[in-house]
Amino acid sequence: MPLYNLACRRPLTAEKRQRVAELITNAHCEVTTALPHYVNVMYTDNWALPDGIDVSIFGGVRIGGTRTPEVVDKLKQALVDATAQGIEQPTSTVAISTIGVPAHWIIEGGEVMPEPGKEPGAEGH
Amino acid sequence: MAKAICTVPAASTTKAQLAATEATFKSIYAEHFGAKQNLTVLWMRTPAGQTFQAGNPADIFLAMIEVENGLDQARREPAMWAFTNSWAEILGVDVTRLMVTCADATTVSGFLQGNRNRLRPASRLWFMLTTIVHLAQSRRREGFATLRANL
Repeated sequence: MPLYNLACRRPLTAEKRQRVAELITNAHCEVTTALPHYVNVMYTDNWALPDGIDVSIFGGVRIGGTRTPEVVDKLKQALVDATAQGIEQPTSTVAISTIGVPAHWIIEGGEVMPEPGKEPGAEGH
Repeated sequence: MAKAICTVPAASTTKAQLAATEATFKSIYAEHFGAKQNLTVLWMRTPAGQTFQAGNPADIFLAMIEVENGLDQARREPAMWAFTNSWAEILGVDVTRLMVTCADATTVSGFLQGNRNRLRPASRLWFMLTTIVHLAQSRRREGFATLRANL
């Protein structure tokens, strides 16, 4: 977690998929201080998205801890900006929504996930 | 009926592994949450090149398993470990490769609804109907209820 599922109107090229995944990973880690290893990106193609939308991000993210509403809003904007940059389209063509999952509901990397902000190496840990 | 939504790489996960996972998950679910509790396993088999981790192409193994709302962590966590350890053994991978969540029913419903709501409104009913048809057809043809990785 996070898991970012990107629904695309049309399949992106392999190069763009790679680029967008890198940019999303960087954006997530910059905003949240989470470790890159936990950032998952998945593409699904041929979606009948609303007019004007080329990519729709649906993110499953941990909630609680340092993940305040302000941080989540900042994260969403950063992810939209990153995706738009990666697909070389305006930010208006990227939609985003998220669903929050408490960290203690998740096992990943062989451990029950820590609350946001309490990861090893995170500030204040 | 509770659902488990499992995502695995299509190319490297065998039908025998899917069958073993499905049987084991149902057994663990009954063991931890009661013999009357049924679990329906839905599979998402991802094509190569569509999953990334840390910005690089990677196989992703995810399981989101529905549990009752507000389940106490003292019951939730042992089940999470049972699913994780058993799945790692079946797949022949280290537990660090897996992401397993036992999520409240409302969260699982929110996940499915949030996914569907990305479609333009006129397409949502079509999506639901074709998803149900695909689940039924895949179960009949292959023995597994499979969600479409691409529409």
